Amino acid sequence: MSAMRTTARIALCAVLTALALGLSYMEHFLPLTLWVPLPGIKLGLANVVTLLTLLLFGVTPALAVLLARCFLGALFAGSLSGLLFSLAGGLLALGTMALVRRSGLSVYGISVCGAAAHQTGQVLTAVAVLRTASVLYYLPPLLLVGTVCGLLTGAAASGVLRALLTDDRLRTTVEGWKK
Amino acid sequence: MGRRSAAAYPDTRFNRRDVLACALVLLCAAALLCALRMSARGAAASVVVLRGGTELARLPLDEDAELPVDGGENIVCIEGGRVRMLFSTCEGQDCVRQGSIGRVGETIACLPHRLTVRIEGGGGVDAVLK
Repeated sequence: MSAMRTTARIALCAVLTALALGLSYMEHFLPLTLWVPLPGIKLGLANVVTLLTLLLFGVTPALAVLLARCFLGALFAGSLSGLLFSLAGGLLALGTMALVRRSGLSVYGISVCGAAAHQTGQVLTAVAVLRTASVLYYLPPLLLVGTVCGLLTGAAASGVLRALLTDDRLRTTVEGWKK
Repeated sequence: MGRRSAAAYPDTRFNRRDVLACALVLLCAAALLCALRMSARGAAASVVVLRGGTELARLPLDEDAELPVDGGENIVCIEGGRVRMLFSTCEGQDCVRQGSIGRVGETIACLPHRLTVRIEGGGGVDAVLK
């Protein structure tokens, strides 16, 4: 029984990781940097998966999916320097979202907090890599754009969550995976 | 099975606390911007090019110039009191796309090349930086 549950959980995390990787690859076709001249600006669609995994299955699966996504993403992109940035941003975002998920914020608010934490993590990594505190100048505009992107990805996450929870069969299935 | 048996999941609709969260994030952004602006007072005077914390070049802002860095991997251009990254061999081209800067403390970063171009004030002391 328990071995089957473990297997099911690994399979579930693998599917979610694949989904996250697919979404972050899709973002390449939506180059936000063309409109907003800020380094590293993107919609953050992969964060939809992190957020939903966190809300539906808890911190540990979300962490597993996040780490697998970052490492595999770096492997596919072939850049190790990108890994540092995505890990710092992703971990800080997940930690923040885990902290605020029961604070009465809706999915939108949790997503915005995650986006802000992600930007902060990335800029702090840039400060460490470039050894120049003046990179902090990027943070205010990044936070502004991040809030908008956080609301958009929050809309996606809340739409998926609502669809899952209002359909009784889907909900029972999803909650069965959690046990 | 009651759908609302426990508040196991957060609200899926935008609520009042979300407005507060967004406002807080934007407030932090504004506060940081003000703090950075205040710590970098004075008239813009020189352009400093750094790689990972070490200074590669320092040029006056009021003289037009084109500075190739690393045999032309990046070209920094000073023109009419503003600085921009004219060219870069990096993949993202974020530094080139950023356009020009002219205020004290403002920075252009080329992450792949670990390069930063910063404007410093005339006093010689820049509080943003050690």
